[in-house]
Amino acid sequence: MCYYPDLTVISGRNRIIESTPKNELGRLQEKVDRLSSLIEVGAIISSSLDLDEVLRLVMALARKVMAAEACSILLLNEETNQLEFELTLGAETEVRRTLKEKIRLDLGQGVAGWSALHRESVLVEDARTDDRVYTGADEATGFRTRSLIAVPLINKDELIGVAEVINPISKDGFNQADLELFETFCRQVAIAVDNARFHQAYLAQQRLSEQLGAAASIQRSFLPSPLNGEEEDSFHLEAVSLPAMEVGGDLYDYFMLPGRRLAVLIGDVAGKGVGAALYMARVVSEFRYLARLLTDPGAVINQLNDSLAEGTEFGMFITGVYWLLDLDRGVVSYCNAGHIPSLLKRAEDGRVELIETLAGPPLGIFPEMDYKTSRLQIGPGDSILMLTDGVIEAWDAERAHYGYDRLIELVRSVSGDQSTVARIIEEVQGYVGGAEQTDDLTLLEMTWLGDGNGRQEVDPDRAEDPEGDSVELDISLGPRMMGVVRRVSERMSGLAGLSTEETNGFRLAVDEACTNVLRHAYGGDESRRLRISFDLNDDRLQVKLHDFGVGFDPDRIVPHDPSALVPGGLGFHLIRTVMDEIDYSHSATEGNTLTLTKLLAERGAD
Amino acid sequence: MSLDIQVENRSGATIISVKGEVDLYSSPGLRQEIKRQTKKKPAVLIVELSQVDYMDSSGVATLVEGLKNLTRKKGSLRLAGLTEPVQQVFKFAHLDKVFDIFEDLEGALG
Repeated sequence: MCYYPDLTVISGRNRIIESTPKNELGRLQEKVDRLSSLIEVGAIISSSLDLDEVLRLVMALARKVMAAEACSILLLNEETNQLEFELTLGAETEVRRTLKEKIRLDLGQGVAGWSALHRESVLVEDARTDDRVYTGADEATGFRTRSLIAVPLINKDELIGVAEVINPISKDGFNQADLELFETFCRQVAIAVDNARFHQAYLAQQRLSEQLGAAASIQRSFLPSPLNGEEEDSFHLEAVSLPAMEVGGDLYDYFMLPGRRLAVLIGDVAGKGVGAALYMARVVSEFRYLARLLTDPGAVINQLNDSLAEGTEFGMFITGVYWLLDLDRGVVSYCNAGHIPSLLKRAEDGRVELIETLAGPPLGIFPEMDYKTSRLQIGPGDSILMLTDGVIEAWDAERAHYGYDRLIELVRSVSGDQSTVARIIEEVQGYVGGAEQTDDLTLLEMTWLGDGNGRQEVDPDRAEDPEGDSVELDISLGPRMMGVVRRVSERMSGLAGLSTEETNGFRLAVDEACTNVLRHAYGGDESRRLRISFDLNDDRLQVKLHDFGVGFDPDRIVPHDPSALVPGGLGFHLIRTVMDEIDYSHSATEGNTLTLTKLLAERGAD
Repeated sequence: MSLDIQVENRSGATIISVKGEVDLYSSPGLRQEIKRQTKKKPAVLIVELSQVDYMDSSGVATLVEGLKNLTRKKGSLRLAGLTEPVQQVFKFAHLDKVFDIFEDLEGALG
């Protein structure tokens, strides 16, 4: 370390040394030059908002005006609280790189550090006699500092950095007049740097905002379009989603599936912003595909979970509920993956209750979870209110658990001609007051209006013969339900006037057909549903078994060959022995239908 | 809906008496019992079905398996007391000539 015993040359109280007095004309010329430089700085400031460009132009001008060998600008890194060489002009490339990459000055260290710490300009007329000079830079670069001026760059009371000019070209050292000029110059530089920085931040903000805008529009494009069609008579849907930021983490989707079934999805992605929006887009598109492929909500959710869990979006997951409403019967099948409970409002007495669910974990975390389908019978006018936690937490500022109580009370108080969704939004916003919405908030109300007239139109069998007797079962194929199926078979056979022997056969055939579905279409899963309908007309007793296929593995959804259903084909052989007609149809979206017909020809004539 | 299954030995024969409906759910219980008795290599194993008013193909398959296994062990599997619906299943399955079918337990023992 160098030590200079003679020091103390600080701005304001230093000697002015004019080694070679200039003549009057020369001095005037110099003043004009310097003044015009200052005007030029002003021009640069207003001409460019690019930080690098501003610094380069301003410092080039500084070097020229100050007639300096080199000049540097050091900016304060607010994180480390150190000064870094942002730009150096006049030195060799190698020197510039060393300064920029290797040299960091603490506040107080060296002349620049001293200037920054004390927010005062420093004039070092002779570096050899000033011990504030940091020799590390010279040692590292091989540059030799004779004289320098350091001026703090301060704008709006904020320290931005320090500007330095080093070694006057035409004289031994800088003087007080040089210092004053450089100070004036640097005030402008500070403003320029500040402007450029502000602009840079603004540009970054704008870029982000553009990205968000794009993400938001992608997200909007995934919102379902309004449904229209004759099914509209059978239900009413109302949805509102208010993202806390431009791009939200909530999603909902709805569409009609074949067989007059309404599919509705509500979900909440953990996380917000662009990543969450893209994840959502993936969830929605896979859901739309799977819901058409598989019938059972549990099967759809299981498949969706496996697919998301295999994905690469680290740490992303989603909670959600898939609802499937049978518009003919008011049967709601649903599967909940870690989502908060929904409400059911009964039209009959205005009762509002939480819908209990067998909720599995959120989707996309662990593969091969066993999500279960729950079922719920609703009546005409009953509605299901789905929500995301933004609704509950808005009321739950102290994280106390009274959010649901308030919500239930509110939903109960909404009269028939009011919109529940609108009332809740109103209430939440009133409750939150002026506070910024912190969580996305989504509400969706699904009301079943009853089966309307649709049923006659969609079921041609019934339309053909309104006089016929029919029974429809929607069951899980457990041991007790198999007994029920046999009893119903016996009774229908009896109503058809079949003999005891024929009844035994009919019962056996129906049982065998059910057993086939359980063993081969459902892989022995007794929780899966099977729809069985018995139709008795004048000339025939017909039974239709509607199953929803293999379900858990879309690759395996193939029409199963009825003759291959039972090892040895005994079950199918029995069916064929008993029944007069066997018809089999397969649909990827609707599952499989096996229709067994027993003809009653002679009786029809009697 | 499980089956009620009783086992007794009489006059050198093993008798499995079954009560209930034999279907996909209940037939495994019957299968297990037939296997257990077959291991003891009885000369005669009688499955008494007078209180079975329903049997499906899984019940038939269970009995076919028992017949095969016991025949291999030089034993004789006999069915006794078939109700009308059960007789019918065997007839539909064309198995009524394959099994030794007796009207009642006494006939099967005799």
